[in-house]
Amino acid sequence: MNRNVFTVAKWEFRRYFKLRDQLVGVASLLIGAAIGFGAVKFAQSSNRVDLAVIGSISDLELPPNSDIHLVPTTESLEELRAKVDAKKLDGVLTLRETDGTNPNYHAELLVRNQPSWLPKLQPCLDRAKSKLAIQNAKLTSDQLEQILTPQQVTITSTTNHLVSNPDRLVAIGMMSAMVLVSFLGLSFFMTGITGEKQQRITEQIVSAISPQAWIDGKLIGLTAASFASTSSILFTGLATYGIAWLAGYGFVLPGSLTRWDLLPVLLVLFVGGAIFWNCFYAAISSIINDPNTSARSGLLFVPMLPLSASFFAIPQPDGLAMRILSLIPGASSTAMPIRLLIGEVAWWELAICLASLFLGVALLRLIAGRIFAAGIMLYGKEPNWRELLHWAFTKQ
Amino acid sequence: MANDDVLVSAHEIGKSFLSVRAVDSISFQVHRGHIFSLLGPNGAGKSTLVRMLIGMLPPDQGCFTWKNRQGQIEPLNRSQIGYLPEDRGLYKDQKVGATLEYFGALRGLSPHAAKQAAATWMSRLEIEQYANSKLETLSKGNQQKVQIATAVLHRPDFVVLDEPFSGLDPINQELMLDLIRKIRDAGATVLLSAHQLNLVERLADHVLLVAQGREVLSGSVDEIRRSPFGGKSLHVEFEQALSAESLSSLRQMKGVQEIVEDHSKAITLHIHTDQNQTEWLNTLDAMGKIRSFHSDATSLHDIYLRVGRKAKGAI
Repeated sequence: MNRNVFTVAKWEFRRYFKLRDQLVGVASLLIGAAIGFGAVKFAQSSNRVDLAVIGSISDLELPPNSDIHLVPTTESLEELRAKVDAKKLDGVLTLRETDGTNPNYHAELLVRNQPSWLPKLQPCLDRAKSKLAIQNAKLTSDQLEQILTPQQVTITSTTNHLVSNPDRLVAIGMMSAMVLVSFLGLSFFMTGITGEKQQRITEQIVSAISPQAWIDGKLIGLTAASFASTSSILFTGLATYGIAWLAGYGFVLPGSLTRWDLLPVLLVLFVGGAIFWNCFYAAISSIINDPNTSARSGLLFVPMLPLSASFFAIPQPDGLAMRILSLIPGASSTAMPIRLLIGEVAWWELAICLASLFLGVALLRLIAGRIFAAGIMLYGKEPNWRELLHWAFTKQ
Repeated sequence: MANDDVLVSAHEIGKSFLSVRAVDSISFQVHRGHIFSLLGPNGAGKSTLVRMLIGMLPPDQGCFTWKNRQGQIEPLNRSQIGYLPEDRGLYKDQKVGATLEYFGALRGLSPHAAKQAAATWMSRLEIEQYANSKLETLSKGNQQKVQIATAVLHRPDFVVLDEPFSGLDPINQELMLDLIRKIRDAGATVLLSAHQLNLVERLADHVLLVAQGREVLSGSVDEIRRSPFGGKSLHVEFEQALSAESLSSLRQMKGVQEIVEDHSKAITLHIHTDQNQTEWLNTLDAMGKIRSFHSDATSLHDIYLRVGRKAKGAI
């Protein structure tokens, strides 16, 4: 790497990535997460509902982790009412079978106030009712079991490629991380170039090094800063996941998170995509005098369209839209990782994707360098489209 | 002056921006070890000329020739140039020491050398106590000192200072004046553009006056004074205001370059150097009773004003 490029990259990285601030941020978020999960756990433990049942308690089946605890009782209704009034019980459920040709349950609930936990009890009562009806149909216990057991589906994949919902979540997470990297790049380049232009720093730097060396250094330094910031956010997310796991939430670790073989390709796609769009941000930022009044500021949000388009294509990762997006530089950095994680990618598609990304980055770097070289020295007015095209395709 | 003392020669330099001719066929030579002053009114083309000189803008016409100490022609070496632009600023949210080290590194110094140079210049400019302060916390004058240090801390051969005195109080202006001399005495060549002409007069070995993109005057300060824009200035105060007819007849007289009405009773008469001062005193005395009279060589300030007025077509 050219010495000047390295000097600029190091300076820009240090300007925008403050390790201490990041650590404070991560620590605050983790403490917040720990407090949050602790509070939820505490709230759940204090949500225990003790419900005395008069009648056939064996017909009621609650899930193992249910907050509702059914208490068999032999006490009279009056005694139980006194306990409810004294808040020693949350309620009394009286469950009696009705007589007649179509036997049913008659359920009566005695409580102090409107029970917020009723929706949790209702499925249990519904199931008991169904069970009674089936029993009255004179079915054998085997028949009954067969009716009540949900239909199991065994999936066999010819490619051994099955995608779970957690895997889809990982794909969405990766796409979101790339969009975040791009957003950070946008903000860094706006302050890093338009800001410097407003502070009149540019002329002194360009007298020392070439504009291309300057923009290359910025591209490396600011891209690294945006990745470092995103990494700290991802780290926080993973650590939060760990805290949740420790707190007893039984999350499943998606298989795609352990696809280490994809890591090099994903890194190339992410870094290439980030540099591609950062070249664009650098060029546009250099022609903006004042972001508050500039007619060109809207252009800075253009990259969000191709980057976010992949989100709508996630349900069909190998559909035509995703196949096209995964080959276009700028969109491929979100589309191809999704396809690699939850779709099927032919080797030639990956080859075209990487080649087009490399070519796109090389071309955009050159064009951005030319626009940057002319744009940073232009004060007071913004170039029109004709001038921009002239700069982009004319060697200075 | 021997030709091999020349550091850079400009040959018929020209530059246009759309339909505006910013610089029009200007030629000059900057001699090694000199302080070369580039003067001219706003919009005269000075900054464009400087930007072309240090390679930031390509000229449309002409070329620059750089020579090394052995007199051999060599390409422009950016690391040997120190540049303080007129439009300047620094990273306000960064520390003074770190900023100086960064600029030193950009100008080719090793990290260690940049650190040493930063410390030396902070000490020389009496701002070492602000090494770990953010720039935005410094006064305007001290920010200006940091700015100048960024341009010269790598000990360049050629230092271009565009308005180095702006923002400085008189004490710091003197400090800057002394600093520029020291830079020159240390072996550097200085190109100076400033509007504090009383200071330029004390510094410059050579002056190039430009207006509307063209050379108007070039030479040493003495040579400039002897030019048609130079001469003598007669400062006269009358007991009573001169009539319009008297002023009109004065303007018609041979040898008068310009008359400036300082106030209703006082005028400054610019005349050629070869004019007889006593004869002029007699002529003026005949027009009205004189309260005070003194003369001096026309200052660079007055010459500059006259060039500016001429450029606007006023004289």
